[in-house]
Amino acid sequence: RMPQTALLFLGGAVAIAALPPSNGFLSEVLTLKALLSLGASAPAAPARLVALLAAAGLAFTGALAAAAFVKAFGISFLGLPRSQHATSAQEAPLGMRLGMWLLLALCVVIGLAPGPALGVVQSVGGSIAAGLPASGFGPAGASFNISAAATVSSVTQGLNSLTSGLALSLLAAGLLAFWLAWAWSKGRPIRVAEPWACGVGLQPEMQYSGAALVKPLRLFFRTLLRPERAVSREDTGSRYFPTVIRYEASLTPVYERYLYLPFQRALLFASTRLKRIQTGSVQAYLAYIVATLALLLILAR
Amino acid sequence: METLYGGLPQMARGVLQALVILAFAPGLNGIIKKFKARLQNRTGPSVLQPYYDLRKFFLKEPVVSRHGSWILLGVPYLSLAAYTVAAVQVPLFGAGAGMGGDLLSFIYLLALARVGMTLAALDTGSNFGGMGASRELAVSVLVEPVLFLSLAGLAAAAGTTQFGLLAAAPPGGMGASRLLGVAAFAFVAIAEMGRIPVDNPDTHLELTMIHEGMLLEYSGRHLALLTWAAEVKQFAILTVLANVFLGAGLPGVGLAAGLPVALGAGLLVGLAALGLSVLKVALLGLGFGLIEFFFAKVRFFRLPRLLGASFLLASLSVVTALFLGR
Repeated sequence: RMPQTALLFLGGAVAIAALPPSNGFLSEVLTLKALLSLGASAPAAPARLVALLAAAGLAFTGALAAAAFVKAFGISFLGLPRSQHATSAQEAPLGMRLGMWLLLALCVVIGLAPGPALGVVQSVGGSIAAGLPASGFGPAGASFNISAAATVSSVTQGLNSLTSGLALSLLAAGLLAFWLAWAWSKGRPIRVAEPWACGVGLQPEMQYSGAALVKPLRLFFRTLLRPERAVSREDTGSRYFPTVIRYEASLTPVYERYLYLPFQRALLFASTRLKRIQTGSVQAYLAYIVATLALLLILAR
Repeated sequence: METLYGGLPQMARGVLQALVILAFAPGLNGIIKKFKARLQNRTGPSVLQPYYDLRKFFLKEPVVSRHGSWILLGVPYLSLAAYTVAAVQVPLFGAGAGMGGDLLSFIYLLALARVGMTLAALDTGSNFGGMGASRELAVSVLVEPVLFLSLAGLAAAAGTTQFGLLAAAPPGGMGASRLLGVAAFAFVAIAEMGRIPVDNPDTHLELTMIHEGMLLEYSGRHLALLTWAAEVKQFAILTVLANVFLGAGLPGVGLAAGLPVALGAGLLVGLAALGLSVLKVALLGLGFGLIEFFFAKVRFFRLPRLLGASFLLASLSVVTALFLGR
């Protein structure tokens, strides 16, 4: 129903999930190589360990980002429409689409021809690293080799052709696969049919919803996410024939409840106490001014 | 390297490696299946059965879900392309072969194929696709940091992310860190290949479907391409294990000869290196088949324990690499 918007969303999702050959992949490669070179050549061993674990953490978030965008794109745009809004959706107006096309074009261009963007990164990195001690590492021509003098330049030289090389080889391999498939299947046409749903008609409700898609992750990380679930049911007298079942699942907002809220309460508490000095009477304010002046005169001596 | 391939440029070298892997990958699957069958005291299908299966799938009529889009039709090609390009990154003929094999490209090409397949699974509009997709995403979140960390330990020690240079023998031979890396990567390999104890490659039951769930709605040439892609992925992962982790050879076992092949070696040496690689890959495959024989599939929600153990092994490998030096 919204083919262009879907395509644009997919392009953005591929870039965020750092999949080759997009610009997100390029920036992820740069970050990982920087962390790896830190892990290889930082002076203190604990720093090296932390750098490598940070790189593993980045890989972890990459996988999570990919999962998140598969969910976002798949649930919104793929399969049967899951709600009334989805069924009656229409393509976005041209103005909205133009903006998205521009951004997607930027992503693609930077991904395939990263030269100018990498040049900017190199100048920034070079100006920062100019004052740091040299930390070159690795045999000549190794793919990451970050020294103070050539901070990002050798890395960027390698990366200039990385994504375009990958894109070309993906294209070539895809064409090979296409050719093999058509040659060996003798061009049999595709038949379109309804997917099997155990004999009953396929309903949109049978599909996976967003929450269902990431349920395994919620369970895996339940210590951090603290999911909550409430199930209530009404029936006509027998437990086996319910009329209404209500299922609510939510995630505890961990950061809000255990980090932001206490901080906010402490802040409000302190400011409420401090409000007492605002009595509203001019005499009190004059007394404050006199007291401050006296204090400053004493301290300035 | 020029003399090895008769003066062909690097791209032709990559193409050659891709063709070799495409040709051998189903055979590897056949060997593992035959081995498992013999362990279970059965005769089992012929070793060439995966080739016959691919031929059968190609000739059948492809049926596609009515609710799909171009993603459904394009993903089989994308999947095979991504896994083939990933397989080309790994040294097969010797260190320094392939397209300039970068380990980061390898990891993210696998991720690209995975995202494509999960999207296609959701695209069918059926229930099983969603199930396969959700489990595959959950497993990938657990597996990818371990995959990266086990290779990162090697990369940080060697100062490079090129596969060929990672395979080179560290001074002093195999150290504790490399062995721990092998152990951690073994778990990753099991998860990526979709073998017991993570996923059962032999059945299409709901309880065991991670990979099969995403393929369920495919038939005909699309299924052929996806099956072949899974076999190529299996071959690529085992090649990483064989040629990068164990490429320098274990001391005293005599595997050090042949890999890494010096640049500029002759054709015969290249073929010998290929033969050695294929042999090592086959032996590793049989080893994983043996694991499948002895163990049962782990309950899906107990997977974090299993893969958490592998993360621990990978972290230990990194720590020993940093503090012991090899």
